[in-house]
Amino acid sequence: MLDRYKGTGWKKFYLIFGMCDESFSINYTAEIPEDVDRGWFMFFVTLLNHFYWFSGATLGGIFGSMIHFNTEGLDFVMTAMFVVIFMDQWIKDQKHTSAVLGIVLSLICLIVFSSDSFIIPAMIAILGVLTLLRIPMEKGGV
Amino acid sequence: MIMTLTEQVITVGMIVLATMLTRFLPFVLFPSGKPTPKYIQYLGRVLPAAVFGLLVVYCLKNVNVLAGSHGVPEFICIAVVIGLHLWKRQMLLSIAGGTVCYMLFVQTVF
Repeated sequence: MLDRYKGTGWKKFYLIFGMCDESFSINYTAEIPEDVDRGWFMFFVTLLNHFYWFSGATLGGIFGSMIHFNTEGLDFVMTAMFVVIFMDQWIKDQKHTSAVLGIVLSLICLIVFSSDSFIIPAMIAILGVLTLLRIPMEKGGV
Repeated sequence: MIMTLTEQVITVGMIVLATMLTRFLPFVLFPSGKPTPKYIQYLGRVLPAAVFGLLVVYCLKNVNVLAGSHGVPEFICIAVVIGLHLWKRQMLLSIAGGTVCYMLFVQTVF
């Protein structure tokens, strides 16, 4: 993101401010056409996400108690979204070492640590292994 | 636990501060005027794929494969998402299709 946000001028401040998981995922994976200004593209992705988040939370807060249909299982939308993003990244990448490492190391940490506290060890494990693999990975053209 | 208004304000304030600090810090540490260090560039190329993998696992962290429905609805619906996405490559269709499928499963079958 350091280099992706380069040269976006004043918009950079807002891009950083509004970089939630969703904005990051879209801005990182999106293939922006040549004739579209990258800065404005990413600015509007971030702005719309910001607006959806804000208006969604507000509507939910105000009208949430009035909704009575069965929403059980609706939270799967997040799982589905990350699966799709993971696939898009997979299709874009030539090598899949890092993607596989992310899944495997996270699963190992999930089994070793409890589901409430596995995320930090998983991040450390991913960072550590990727750092150790840097030389062979870069030789392989990553 | 019920928090007083002051405690709530302080909590929200701390969260805002921590979020903004972690978001801006990398950009302050590696200003765009200077070339980004090679190691950081390498991480920028390889980390996202791994982190998206971590996020998928994170979403499934409370699935118990040893009890209850054994994660069957989750795995079937992830297969539906993957299938839809390979077929149509339409992000919203894949997400909506998988979610509707999952809601039907957990509300009626399991």
